[in-house]
Amino acid sequence: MQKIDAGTVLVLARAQGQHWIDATAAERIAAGATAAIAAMSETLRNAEAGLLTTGSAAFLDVLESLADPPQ
Amino acid sequence: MSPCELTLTEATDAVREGRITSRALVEAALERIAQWQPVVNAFACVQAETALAAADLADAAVRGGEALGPLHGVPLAHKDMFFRPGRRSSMGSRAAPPAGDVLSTVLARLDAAGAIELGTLNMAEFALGPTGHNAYLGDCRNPWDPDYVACGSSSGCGAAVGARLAWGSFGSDTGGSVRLPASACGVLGLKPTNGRVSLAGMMPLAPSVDVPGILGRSARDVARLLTVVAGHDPADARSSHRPTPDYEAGLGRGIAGLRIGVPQNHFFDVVAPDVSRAVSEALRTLHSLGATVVPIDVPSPEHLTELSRVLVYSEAAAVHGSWMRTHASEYSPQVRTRAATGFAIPAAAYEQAQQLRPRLLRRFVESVFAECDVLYLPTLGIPVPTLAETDVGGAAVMWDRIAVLVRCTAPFNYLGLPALSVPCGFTGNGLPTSFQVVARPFAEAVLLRVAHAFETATDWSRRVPSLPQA
Repeated sequence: MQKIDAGTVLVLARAQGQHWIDATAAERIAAGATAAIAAMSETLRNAEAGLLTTGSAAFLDVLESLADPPQ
Repeated sequence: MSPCELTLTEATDAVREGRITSRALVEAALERIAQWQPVVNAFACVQAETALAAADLADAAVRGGEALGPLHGVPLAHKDMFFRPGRRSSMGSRAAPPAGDVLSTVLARLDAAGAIELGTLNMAEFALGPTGHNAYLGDCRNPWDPDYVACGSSSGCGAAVGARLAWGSFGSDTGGSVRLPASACGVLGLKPTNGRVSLAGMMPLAPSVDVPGILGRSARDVARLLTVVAGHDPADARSSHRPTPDYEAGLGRGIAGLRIGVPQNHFFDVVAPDVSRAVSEALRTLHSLGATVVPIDVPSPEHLTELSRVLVYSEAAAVHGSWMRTHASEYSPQVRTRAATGFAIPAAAYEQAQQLRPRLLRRFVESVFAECDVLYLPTLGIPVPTLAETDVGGAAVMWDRIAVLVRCTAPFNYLGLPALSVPCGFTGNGLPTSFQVVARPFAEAVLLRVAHAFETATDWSRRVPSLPQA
C-alpha cells in the first residue's frame, strides 16, 4: 500500500497555514490519512466501474426514498 | 423512591397531575448533583438559580390550569454544544470560539415543550473523542465505577442520565458519540436518521455526518423527546420534510413477527466473551417475545468506518482550519492531530466518499432490510475500559484504540441510518453493556418498539448505580 509520509503532511500543512504541526504530529496525521485513503481506494476498486455522478446533496433524498419498504 | 429515580415520562405525569412540583424535582436533582458531581464530573456548569426560577413558573402554570407541554416542568441537561443566547458554550475546549447569540433548534423545541435546563454537560473536546477524557473540563467518569470511562464524546450526558442527575439529555453522534456513553453508563442512546433532527445552533464537528442524539432512561422517554424535537427546520437545509409520527403511540404493539437480522460478518468478529454472552441472552429474550431471528450477510461493512473518517476529518479540518492556525496550542494534542488529519486527505477522496455514500446506503438498505426489519449487533464489543487504559493522548496507538471503540457504531453514521443502544446486562468488571438495533431510514419507531418490548421483560435499564463510599 502506498503511504502518505510525514514530509508530505508537513508540506501540505504549511501550505494551509498550519505551522504548529511538527514532525511527531505529522507522523500521526500521515498514519490516519493513509488508512482513510486506503479504505477509499479499496471501496472504489469494489464499486461498479464508471464515473461517480451522484452529487452529495442527494444523500437526504436517498435516505427519504428508502424510508418505506417496497410493497 | 427518590423522584430522581422516576423516568422522564413518569416525572412529567406526576407534575401534570399535581403529585409532585417541578421545584421538588429540580431540588432533588440539585441535591443529587451535589453528591455525584465530585465523583463523575458530569456537568460543565450547573445553573441552579435559573432552573429553580423556571420550575416556579412551571408550577404556577400547573396551578393556573394552563396548557402544559409534553415535557412540562421536568429538568434535563445537555452536552455543552447546543447554543443559547447569553451563554457561552465551552464545546469541551479551552480553545472554544464564541458561537454568537444563537438559540439552537433543539433547545428551542425543548423550551416550547416545557422542559427545564439544569445546566450544561461535560463532553470530549470539540466532540472529537470516544472516551470522555478532557484536560480542560476534567475527565468525565463512569457512575458505575469512577475508574472507568463514561465513553464519549457525549460523556457528561451518559454520566448524568446514568447517575439519575437529569431525566434525559441531548448529545451529538458523529461516530457513536451518543450510543457509546449510553452503553457505558447503562441507559438508552438513540442516533436518529440524519436529517430527522435539526442541526441548527449545534456546534459542528462534521456537518454532513453529525446528528443530535438522545440519551434516556426508557424507550418511552426517548420516544417523547424525539417526538418533541424531530421535524423539518427552515434553519437547517439538511433537515427532512418527512412528517414526524408520535413515537410513543406504537410502543405497545409488541414485536411478534418482527424479523431481527444478526450479521454473520464483521460486527461479531471482535466481541469479548462477556459482551457476547449478554447480547446473545438479550437476543433470546427478544425471540421469546415473538421476534424471528434471521442470519444476515452485511454488504462490505469493513470499510464503512474509514469512509466515515474521510468525511469527518475533512470536514473537521475545514471547520477548525482558520481557528486552529491561531489557537493550536489551546487544543489537546489528540484533538488537534485528529482534526488536522483532514489537511492530508485529498479533496478528490473526500468527494468520492460523499458520492459513494448514497450508493452504499442504497445497497445496504436493499440487501439487509429486504431480509429483516432491524439489524442486531453489539454497541461496544469490549467491556468498558478504564480511564488509565485509554489515556493515550496523541500517541500512535490512538488510531487503534479509537477504531476498537467505534467499530460497531461509526458505519451507521456514514450510512445515515437510525440506531439505538439498549442496556442488556453487565460485564465481568461490573460495567454495563448493551445491544444495538439499526433500521431503515426514518424507522426510529421500530427501534423504540424493540427497546420497549425488551424493557417489559427485563430490568436492565431500571438499574441505578450507587454513590461510591468515600
